Amino acid sequence: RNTVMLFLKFPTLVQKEILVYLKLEDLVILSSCSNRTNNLIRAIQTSRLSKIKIIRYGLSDSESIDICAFSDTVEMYIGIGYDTWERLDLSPMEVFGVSRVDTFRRLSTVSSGHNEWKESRLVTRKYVDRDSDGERAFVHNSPREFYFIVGSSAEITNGR
Amino acid sequence: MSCEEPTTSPTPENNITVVSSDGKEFLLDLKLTEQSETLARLISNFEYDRTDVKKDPVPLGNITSAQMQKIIEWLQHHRYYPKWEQNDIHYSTSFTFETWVEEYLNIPNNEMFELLNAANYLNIPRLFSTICRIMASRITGKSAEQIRTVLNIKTDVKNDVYTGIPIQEDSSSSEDGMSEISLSPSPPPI
Repeated sequence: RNTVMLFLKFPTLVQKEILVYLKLEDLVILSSCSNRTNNLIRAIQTSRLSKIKIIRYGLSDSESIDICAFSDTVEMYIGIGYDTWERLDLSPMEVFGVSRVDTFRRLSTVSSGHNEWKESRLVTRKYVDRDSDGERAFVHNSPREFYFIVGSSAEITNGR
Repeated sequence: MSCEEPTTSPTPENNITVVSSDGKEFLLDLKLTEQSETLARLISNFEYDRTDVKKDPVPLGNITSAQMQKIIEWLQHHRYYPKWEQNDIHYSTSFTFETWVEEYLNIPNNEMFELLNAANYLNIPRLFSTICRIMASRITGKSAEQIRTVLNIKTDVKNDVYTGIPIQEDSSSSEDGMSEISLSPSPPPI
């Protein structure tokens, strides 16, 4: 019995309907299968991806890179082994449809004018904020783990 | 979902004839056609639900007799089901199906895709949605390498993120791909 589905040759209507039923975790893994699936998901699942408000990247002693995405209703987590990561030349932001270059540009501390990041402290944690669009980012570093978090300042509070 | 099936005997007045692309005629109960928005609209426009109107056979040029037979089987099974409501199915992760549906759709993928096309052409939302959900169930929870196998996806050329120049992936490493991605039900505490 034929078990292969030629998914990429399906009409967009069908692809869209199938993707609707997949969880974010499945979308991330599907997007990593090839450039075509990555582009497809970016093109027809934009509304779902845009609901992600915070993305957290973690490097810990678990020998994997942890990526967590948070929306109002979903908390998604995937872990990718370091060796797999290096072999794929895949950057964390790319799996959520944002290029690595854009990531660095968004967080650049040397930008000027309305894109400038301002350092602030909320309770115990130090952040960088960008007033123009309310973006916030921070890095957490300890002997056991390293986190890099980016998202809306309204969403990132001291507890997250 | 199960529905009680009242006993009714079809009469010539409440049937229409549809003709498949290979010329085979099928007699369809008007009650069954309610599940197909295409047929229901056609019947309404031509007033085929009236007994005093002559009913010409309806040609279905995109559907073969084998597909039509399969669709009629679906329509008959769901004859007394409530009207399909497209609720907020988005982000639904339920991949539980009736036993009958699992047996009905236990067909090769090429046949399932043809059935999907037919369901789309006749606008039978319950069938269309069910087939898509079945297809999604074959993707969910799988590793990248398993997905590549199921969907027949080949790793393709990637652009270097710094230079933008296309780079050809090493074939041996692309076979392994992201197979070591693991899923966890919940994120670790921050």
